Amino acid sequence: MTVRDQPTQVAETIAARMAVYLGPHTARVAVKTFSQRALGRGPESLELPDVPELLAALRPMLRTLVGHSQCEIVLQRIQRELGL
Amino acid sequence: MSFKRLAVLPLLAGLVPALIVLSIEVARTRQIALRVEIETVKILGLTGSVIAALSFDRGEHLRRAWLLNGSCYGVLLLRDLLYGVWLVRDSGELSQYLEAGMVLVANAGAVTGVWMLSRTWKVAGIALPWSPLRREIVRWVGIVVGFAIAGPSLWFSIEHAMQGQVRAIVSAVSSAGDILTLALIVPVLLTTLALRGGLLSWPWGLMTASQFGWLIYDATGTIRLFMHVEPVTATMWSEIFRALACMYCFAAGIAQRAVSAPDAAAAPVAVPKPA
Repeated sequence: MTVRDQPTQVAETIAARMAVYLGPHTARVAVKTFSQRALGRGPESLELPDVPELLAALRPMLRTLVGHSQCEIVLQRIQRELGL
Repeated sequence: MSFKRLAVLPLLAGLVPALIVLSIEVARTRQIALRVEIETVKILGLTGSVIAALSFDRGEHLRRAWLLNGSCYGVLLLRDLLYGVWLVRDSGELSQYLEAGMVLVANAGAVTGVWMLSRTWKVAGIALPWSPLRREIVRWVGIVVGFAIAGPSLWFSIEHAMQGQVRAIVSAVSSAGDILTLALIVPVLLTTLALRGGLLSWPWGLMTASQFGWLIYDATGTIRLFMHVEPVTATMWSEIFRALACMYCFAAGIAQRAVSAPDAAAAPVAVPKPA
């Protein structure tokens, strides 16, 4: 991975919070997969304005694995940690 | 919640059938003690499934999966209750067919529940570890192991059922359900591996352990078909692995509930500071 491909701080923050549940590897892969799916680009270009769209894309995945209530808590926490 | 302690609890429960068999010499008393132990672990298996299901909202994929898994324990408990206090298996054909029907419903619930668990990764959209080829090879190994363990029992049961033995239908249905469930262990195991390092790896890992418990429980039955084992010894080993399977299901349910507790989301995380 080159320096240009490094995930941004925003991507790292989202992955770190999700890693509590999904483990570090799957959390990183999920951020990459869903940012490409929702925004058409990878975690190396994720910035704060992209967060609402990315979190909306991550919601069904998290809801399936941890349930609706817990999913919303996690997403709110991510937004708080990013200062949104 | 200490997940490690939760993982040890079923091992302690697995000792109970061994203690009963080794310490009680009177056959009738031993039989009663084992019956109490069997029903207790089944009730705990049902409890764990319901607790896990309640961690999810109505209509959610894993709520349905856990409820279907629990329905197997529920229907088998109802069967045990009916045939323990009211019906007698040899009381007539209707009674025997009712048992076959109940075992069919129980197995259908278990297989559908495990099938739903096995495809959760696909529903969620997470990636499984390993290459598709390696996953396919391991999946086929699971299917072959399932056939090797429950296949002989299914074969003999079908033979006996063809000769008109109604009780053999119960055994055949149960064995067919076991083969299908055992074939689905691999995707559940791979989901556990995908989630390693995260809190969710605990309920998934404990559920995988439960499925392995059932795998070895079935294997003990198959060994009985081909080897002479003292009935008491064979029963002891079967019941040890039944207890492990049910108790790991209970532990998985408790772990799922703990993961869904609001304070789980508050765990501190280390985010690298910007350069």
